[in-house]
Amino acid sequence: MGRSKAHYWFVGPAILLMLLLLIAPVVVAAALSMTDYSLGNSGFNWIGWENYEKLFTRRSYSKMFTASLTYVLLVVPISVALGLGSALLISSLRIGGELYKAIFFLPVMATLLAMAIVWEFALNPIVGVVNDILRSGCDKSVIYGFLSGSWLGYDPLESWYGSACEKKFPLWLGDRKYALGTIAFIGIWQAFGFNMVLYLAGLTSVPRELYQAAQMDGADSAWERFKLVTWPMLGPTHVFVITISSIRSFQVFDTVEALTEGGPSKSTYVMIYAMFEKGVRQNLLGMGSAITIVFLIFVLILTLVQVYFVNRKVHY
Amino acid sequence: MASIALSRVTKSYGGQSVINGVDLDIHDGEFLTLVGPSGCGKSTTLRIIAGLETQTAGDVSIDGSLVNETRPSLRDLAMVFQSYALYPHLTVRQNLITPLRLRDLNFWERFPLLGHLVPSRRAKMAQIEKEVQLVSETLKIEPLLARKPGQLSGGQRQRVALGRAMVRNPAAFLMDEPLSNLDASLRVHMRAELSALHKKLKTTFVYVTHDQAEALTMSDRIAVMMDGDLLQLGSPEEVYQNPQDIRVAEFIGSPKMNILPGYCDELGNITCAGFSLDGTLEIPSPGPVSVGFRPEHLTLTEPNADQSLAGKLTYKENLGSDVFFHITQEGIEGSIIIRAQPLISTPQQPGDIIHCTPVPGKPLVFGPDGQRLDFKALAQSGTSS
Amino acid sequence: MYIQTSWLGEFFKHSLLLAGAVVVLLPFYLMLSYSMKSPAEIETNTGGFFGAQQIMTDNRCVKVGNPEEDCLKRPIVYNYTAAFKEAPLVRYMLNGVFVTVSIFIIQVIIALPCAYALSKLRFWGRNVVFGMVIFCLLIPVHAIALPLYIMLAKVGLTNTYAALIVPWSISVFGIFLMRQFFMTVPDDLIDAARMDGMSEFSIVWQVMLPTAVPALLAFGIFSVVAHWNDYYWPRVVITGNKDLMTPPLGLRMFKSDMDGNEYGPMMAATTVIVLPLVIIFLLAQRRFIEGITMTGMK
Ligand SMILES: Nc1ncnc2c1ncn2[C@@H]1O[C@H](COP(=O)(O)OP(=O)(O)OP(=O)(O)O)[C@@H](O)[C@H]1O
Ligand SMILES: [Mg+2]
Repeated sequence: MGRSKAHYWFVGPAILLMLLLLIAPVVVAAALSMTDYSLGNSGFNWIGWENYEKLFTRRSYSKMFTASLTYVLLVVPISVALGLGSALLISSLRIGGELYKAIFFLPVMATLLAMAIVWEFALNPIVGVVNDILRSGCDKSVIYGFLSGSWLGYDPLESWYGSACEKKFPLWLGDRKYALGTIAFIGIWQAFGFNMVLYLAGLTSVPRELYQAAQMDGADSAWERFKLVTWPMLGPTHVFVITISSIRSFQVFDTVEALTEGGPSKSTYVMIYAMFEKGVRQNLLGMGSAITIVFLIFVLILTLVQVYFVNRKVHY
Repeated sequence: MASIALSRVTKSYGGQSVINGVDLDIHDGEFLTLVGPSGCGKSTTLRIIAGLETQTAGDVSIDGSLVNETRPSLRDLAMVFQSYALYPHLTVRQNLITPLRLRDLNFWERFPLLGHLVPSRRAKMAQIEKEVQLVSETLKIEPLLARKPGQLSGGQRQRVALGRAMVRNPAAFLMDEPLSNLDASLRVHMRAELSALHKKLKTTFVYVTHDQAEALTMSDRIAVMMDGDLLQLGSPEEVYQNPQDIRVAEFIGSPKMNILPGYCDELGNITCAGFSLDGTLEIPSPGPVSVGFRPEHLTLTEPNADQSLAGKLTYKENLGSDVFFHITQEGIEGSIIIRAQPLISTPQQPGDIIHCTPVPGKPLVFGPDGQRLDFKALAQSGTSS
Repeated sequence: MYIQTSWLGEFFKHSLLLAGAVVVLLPFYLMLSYSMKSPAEIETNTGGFFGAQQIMTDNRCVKVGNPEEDCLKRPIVYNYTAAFKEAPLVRYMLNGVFVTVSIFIIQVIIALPCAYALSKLRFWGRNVVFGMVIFCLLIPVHAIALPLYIMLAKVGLTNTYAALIVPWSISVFGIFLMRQFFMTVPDDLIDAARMDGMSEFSIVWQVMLPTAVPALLAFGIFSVVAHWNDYYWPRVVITGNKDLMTPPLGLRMFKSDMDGNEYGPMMAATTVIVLPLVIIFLLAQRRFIEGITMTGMK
């Protein structure tokens, strides 16, 4: 094999493309982040750390970090928990598991941008079905009583549902208080089926004999067996699911661009969207590159944390 | 210590019956082996005893009391699994503690973190530690206590799995092919250790294996299962020498018993492979029968001897201590195996015609339904085996 | 998983899962339903799933100057014809197919030989190359969109098919996946092919390619789904030229071009774009789930 020169032809194109399309852009971004470069200008000035300084001092960028982190902190735990929960339920079903699996996986397959537009219609404050359904509960005393908490003895008007019935239901995407949560809801809706499938794969790799051993050892309730066997055996899956969900939700863009464009008042101004707005729309490529670099550092940190956990905690 | 009784236990999976009415009495303190080919329902039987599987019909009782509705953990049995089923994320020590912790500590004492604040926990944990210590001394696994199962060899894991069963001082041990993942020499070694452990603990052992050699060497009694039926229950000698069913005869013993087609006349005389046996059936059953000879019950003879079975030598299998001759005869399927001493065997070469004769009184006769028929050898002077 | 279930527990689990399924399916239901309803029905939330399908007047058609009676249509017909008329949906779909298929083919052409070399050939620097692949796995392509965009702009490639395809031509993940797969292929197979006088090139394409079909299928599903659904990258490099738009981008343009209230045609367009993948998914569910999870290891 040493004689053959075939490997040059085999790895050559891949190396070239990796250098050109993956490594060079990182270098370019790192360099441009120190400049005030714009497309169309003949030259640019080196401005050192100025872009980064702005990034960490200006209010609009602190809103960007807040939005991105809040989004990740909403989507990751909830979509992971829902993924695990539905995987546990589905795997313990006698019949119908495959059907639920297919249904929950549907959003993973469907074009997110298109489904975001549908959600926007559903959440429309005037004609959308979501508020329609909520409103219809207001004059059904059972539902009203339950959701407003009056069955627990609270003043219904104090509750979220009660006061919304009195006044009006939220604008969702148009309201600063709700917009990010709503975007996150769509993110969770889209992502948890993916986590579910990963957990299902993890669950099938847990040996049945371990559950039987646990039963013999006296783990009588499903909860005891979950604690003793399922949860620890899913260790590698947890690490993987959490990292991949985090990296994916850091990259949220489609829903934000199509539904809120970062608004209202920058409450959904997430990083990739900011990168797009600064770099592509406003042609402030230096600033955009600085955001790129910070973003890459976040992803790197997440990956390193993953590697750390894979090597340490989950080592049997 | 406990006796275990199964009565008319059946099990079916979605209409497909895998255990067909098994009756089995396991005595207190005995080493009983369930043996049979793969898929015959041994593990299922064992899991029904353990309570991991519920029987479709029939009763299981332990020490005389019915346990059909009793949870596995309350049956006071311990199980050793084929794959050992050790918790891979726990150290050996924690693996050994787990059954005791789950049995002895109450809900609050087990509660994560908060449990440490419950005052009674301390004394109980100390007691548990003591028991774990004792068992690990017996099994010589003390140096391994801090390791995780992934860092142990197969034999060590096997020991830890045994330890996890032992710490609870169960009324009986259930073992499902515990040695099948070990290499050959370690398996032989562990057989001896398990036997010794049984002598020492004097507890009931129910042992499942598909390896008949394991069954013959270790057990007080053997239960042979096939296709969901319990065919024969008896001591190793009895099952070997007096198989009641042709399937048992074929399964037990290595190399396999030679089964030749024979014919029985009105008087009960039997002819087989061109010669007639010295003896008659107590109750003649005219028609075809099967005659079984164990390889060691055929002896080589001179070509001119009468009543001999002749065949062409196809293969000579020399194991050092024994030599097995494989011979074929026209009209008989497969080959007949004869066991001989190495000294006697030297001159023959493959292709030669070999003659042999059965050891009187040893042939076993089975009817067309596979049931053993009572065959009496003629009293002959001067011959004994 | 080993849980003994009672019928009550089973019922409880099904209720929870059904509630989840309702929420998950809600937008799909709405999309299909809206695509068949008249504007009035949408506004008032009436008409059930299919709508009443009462003949309605196409206002746009009247405005253009057609006689009123030529502009009477059933809502479902109106919605779908409007969708295809207002937006070049067919063009978008063809673009989508062209781009995703090209990307996949190029990815395989680049990744397969590289993976073969990394797993089965011994040469100086092999570990360095593999290290480079691992390092590149860390870089999410979406994150470096900006410098890529600048580079493409510098060579004048924005607003071309090349801009949509070239940045994805290298899939380090594909290389990694194929390499892992090839590691499990016995060396004997390759040595036998060499003894038969095959060149290394023929080994890659005539021996390794056929053995890699299962892995390629999984990777193909992953790649096609990802790029058919991708919105971000086309959004960055295609500005205004509808002839180059992929389905999601086209749909987005449709949305911003519209005067707000035309939900019916909008949902018809959405349905047309979402449905192909969903149908293929439902037909080959297991393969898809396997493919996406296997490659989900990204
Ligand atoms: N959960 C199940 N569902 C359906 N059939 C089963 C199930 N468990 C076991 N069986 C069937 O029951 C029969 C007996 O299985 P069992 O595990 O008891 O065999 P075994 O004697 O232990 O075999 P081995 O020596 O291979 O372990 C087999 O034919 C098996 O296919
Ligand atoms: Mg078994």
